[in-house]
Amino acid sequence: MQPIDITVHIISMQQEAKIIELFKKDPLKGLKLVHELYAHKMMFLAKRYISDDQIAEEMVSDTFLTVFQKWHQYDENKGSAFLSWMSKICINRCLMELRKNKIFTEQISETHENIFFEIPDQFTYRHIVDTIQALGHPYNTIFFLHEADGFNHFEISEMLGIPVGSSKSYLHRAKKRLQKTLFDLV
Amino acid sequence: MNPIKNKIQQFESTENSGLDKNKNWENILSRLDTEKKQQNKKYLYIGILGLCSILSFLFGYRMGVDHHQTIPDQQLPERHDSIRIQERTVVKTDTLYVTIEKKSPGLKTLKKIQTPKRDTFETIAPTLVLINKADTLVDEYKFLPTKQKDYQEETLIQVVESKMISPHKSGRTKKTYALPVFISDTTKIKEVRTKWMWSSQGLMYSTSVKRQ
Repeated sequence: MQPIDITVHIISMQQEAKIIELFKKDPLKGLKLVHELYAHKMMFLAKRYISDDQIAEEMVSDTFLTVFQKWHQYDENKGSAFLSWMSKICINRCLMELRKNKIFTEQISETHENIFFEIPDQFTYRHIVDTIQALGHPYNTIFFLHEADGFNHFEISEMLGIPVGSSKSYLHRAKKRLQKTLFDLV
Repeated sequence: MNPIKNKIQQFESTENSGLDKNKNWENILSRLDTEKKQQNKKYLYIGILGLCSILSFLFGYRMGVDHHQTIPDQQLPERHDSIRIQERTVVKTDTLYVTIEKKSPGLKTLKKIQTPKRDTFETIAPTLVLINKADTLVDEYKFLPTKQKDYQEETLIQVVESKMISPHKSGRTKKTYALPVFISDTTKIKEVRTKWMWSSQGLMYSTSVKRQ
């Protein structure tokens, strides 16, 4: 396939609604535009869940391929932005990859008290992501899903195929561990 | 907004993700290309399969009409026992599975016979055990895939049925063929023989019953 020059489109079509129009006209051009706009965002997203950069890149490619195949399923009237729709595809793809290692099987339940922590100002992005990833699976995954990507426990339980209670417990443990790590670091 | 989300979003808007966009785009294009080729291949394969199915149906049907020999009902002895043969073919391995199963209440599921691949087809002689209505073992009959020569040398009492079975049908389609062995008096039957023969149209079998 030949590379496509879409510079004009990038300049003139900044709004997400226009992405769909472009997809309707020429799906490959639509994909190129979406890739141009969101590739880095998807990479950041994938890297939250997948620590291996190469696999994360694969996940990004998979996401765009899925977008190319399913763009017509996106319904702008449902209220979610194209980026959110695509982010969910990316997250689901990452979770599928993680599921290969069967890390979401444990069912746990415990009481939860509120845990508060603050991110030190001197912390860089790498610090934050590395610290959360160091929590290990599935704590980091659930932490990112809940705290960074805004999914609630019901959604997480559906996505990971675990009980709601387990999702809450994993998050609670993750926060506890993170609190301790941050305390030690500070 | 919680502190983590805040920080993450703040950083992600300014930092580089480390993704080589051009390389990633090339990768996506190449995968799209591969998928397209695979899909084309799939459609071609489905087309060929469809054409083969139509041709096999048309020719198979015609051959069946030409070669199928059935004894008229009034000449048939009482259907005391019968054997039912279920055939299932798998295209990939070119293997024909023959399963003998219960047909009448008096005849139990007898024995599963798995025939080997086409090229070694004539080397086996699976045994079929017949049980009568009283659940007593009557005899053991051998399904002998004989050669044409052996077949002619046998004293053939009755060629019961000859039918064409195509071995190139999808493994998902189960077809049941009745292979009736009309045994009015089971004690006098010495042997039931079936001749299997591959032709360009598929597998053909004919059964003979030898009496004492």
